[in-house]
Amino acid sequence: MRKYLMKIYLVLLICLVSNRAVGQVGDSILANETTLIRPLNVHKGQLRISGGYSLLISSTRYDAQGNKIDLSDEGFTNIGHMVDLEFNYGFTEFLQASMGINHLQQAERSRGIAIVTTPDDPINFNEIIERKGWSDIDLTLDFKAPFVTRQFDLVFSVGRSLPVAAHEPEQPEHQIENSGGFNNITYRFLNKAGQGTGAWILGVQSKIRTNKLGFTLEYSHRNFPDAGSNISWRGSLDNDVISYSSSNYDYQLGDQSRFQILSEYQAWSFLNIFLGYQTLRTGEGWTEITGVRALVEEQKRSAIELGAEVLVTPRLWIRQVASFPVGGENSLNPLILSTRASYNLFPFN
Amino acid sequence: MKKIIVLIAIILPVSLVNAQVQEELTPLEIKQTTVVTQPATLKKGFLRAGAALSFSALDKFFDDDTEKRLFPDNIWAKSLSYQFAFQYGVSDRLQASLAIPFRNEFISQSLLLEVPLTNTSTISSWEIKGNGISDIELGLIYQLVPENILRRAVLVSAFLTLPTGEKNPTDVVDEQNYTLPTGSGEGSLNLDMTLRKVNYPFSYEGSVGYNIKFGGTKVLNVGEEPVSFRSANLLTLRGAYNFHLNEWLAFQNDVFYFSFGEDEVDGQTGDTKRWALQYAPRLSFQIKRFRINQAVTFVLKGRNSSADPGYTMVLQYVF
Repeated sequence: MRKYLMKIYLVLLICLVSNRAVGQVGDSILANETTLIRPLNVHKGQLRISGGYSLLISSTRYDAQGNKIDLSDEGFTNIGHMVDLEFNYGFTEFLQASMGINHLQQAERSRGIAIVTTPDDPINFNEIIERKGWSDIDLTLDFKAPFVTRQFDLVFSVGRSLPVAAHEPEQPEHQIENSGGFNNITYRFLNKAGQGTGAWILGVQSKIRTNKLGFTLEYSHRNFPDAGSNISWRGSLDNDVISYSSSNYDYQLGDQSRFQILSEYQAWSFLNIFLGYQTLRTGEGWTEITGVRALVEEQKRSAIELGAEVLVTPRLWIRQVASFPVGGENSLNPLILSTRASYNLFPFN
Repeated sequence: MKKIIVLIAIILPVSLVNAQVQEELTPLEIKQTTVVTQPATLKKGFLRAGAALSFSALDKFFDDDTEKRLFPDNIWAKSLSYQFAFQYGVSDRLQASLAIPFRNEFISQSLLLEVPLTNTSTISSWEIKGNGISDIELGLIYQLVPENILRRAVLVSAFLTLPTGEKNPTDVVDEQNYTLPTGSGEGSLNLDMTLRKVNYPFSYEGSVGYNIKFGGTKVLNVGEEPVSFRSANLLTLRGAYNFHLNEWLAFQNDVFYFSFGEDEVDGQTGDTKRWALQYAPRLSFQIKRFRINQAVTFVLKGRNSSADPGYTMVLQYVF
């Protein structure tokens, strides 16, 4: 029994010492990494937990010809809040698993409509389209090319977006109030943030570094192989009561691709400043929401990004980005202000 | 025995001298202290100058049942305010301050008016803006119980707001064409008591404040005559837990509870209960004597109050 306990004690001692040693090795690896020289993948045994908040303010949209239109001229407003969460874990120095999810809350208001049938009974309609909820979960495996040099990094990603989030809209709500001499009717459409159909994810990312400068190119592509199914709600007024009924429809989401180029400057060991450009394209899809299959046109939007990353401790860094819309087609293009923190640890070593 | 006494007599003063040296900071070092480690009030002769920028947009509110709701109207409103603030150490225990705020307000709305009887429909879109100086604030903070070796302090403060901003709509053409006011139109006095303790790398603060509004007269609705009014007095409770993430970056956590009294308009008191619970995480970067603070204020819960988050950035420098 004593021998047995002694063996357990020795094993525990070895584990403890090795754990401390590996933890210290992990810390020393992180301590020597600035934002610029940090590899695109996390290290073996490293877990990175990142979370952030973004404010999305849309004041412009772009039409099919790429003309910029002020939303206030069209009576639209759109504002959103997004919280995102990402986990990265390094199985080896060259293989990383990632999981990402976000929570969105977005409200779009359209131009109010006042109908004066008789001077004594004017009606004012307002419409709010809300999108709220968790997104689908993205799971990816990232393979880093086994280059010896630190000057160049190349990572290939493959993954799947799992349609686990709710995507069917809730029954709309309405509210009737009398104020200012108007019968104000407000419709609220309650959409969800899920896509309703899974997607394959493919991506490639490369980074070239010098002592103070870095350039990153990134391309990712999402393909939705299957058509999705959703419900739409219709309201009808019957004896002063608005009732709702739902009907099913099918849709096909267009492929989504994102291209980003980022140049960065390591001003001090703790401060990295970057300037980038990114463009997002959503290919053509279709929807049968109106009862007949209709084309959903291709959408594009591009933005310039300006930001900084501060290395608070070797384990913790904070990244702030302002994304300014510069162009697009058939889409809203929001100004995005985001703050993100990342914490790193070596939990299982 | 004599030798031991002599030895103790030598060691004791040396030890005391060391302790004093550890506590004492040079003026330059004091100017470089962070929001966690800085003295409760500015040292005598020190001047802190700063600029602040705040942004918020109108989107959501808490209703009378404390439920968070979206504003139903088609309205887009945003508020950008910026201010220049100066704080001066009159003595090691008394700090005076001056804040000069400016406001930039923007409201846009659009309406489609349909009149079936005349078979007409009209789209009206209008934007209302306001830009200018707001209400200047003067303040005094006094260390009632001065910060001691245990780094505890009790502070009392008084801030007087002067109605220097334009209180009425100007350039009025009609209800859709005018310039928004940038002032409140009334003075106010805010009295506050704060308990502060520093236990490096942490600091804790708790405070209670009461804001008394003096009222005044102003135009509340465009095109109408000015009426007398007095905004609701405000009780504020605050708790703060701050700590260093590293030597030059502090993370502040402020929780506020606001309880509003009743507004008065033309001698009539309203009966709307209003309160709000807010959480404001802040990052404070200290780069030598230069400081950058960033905060996002989230409204956790409330009643008849705004539910929109606000963003604030502050730049400060100590001379």
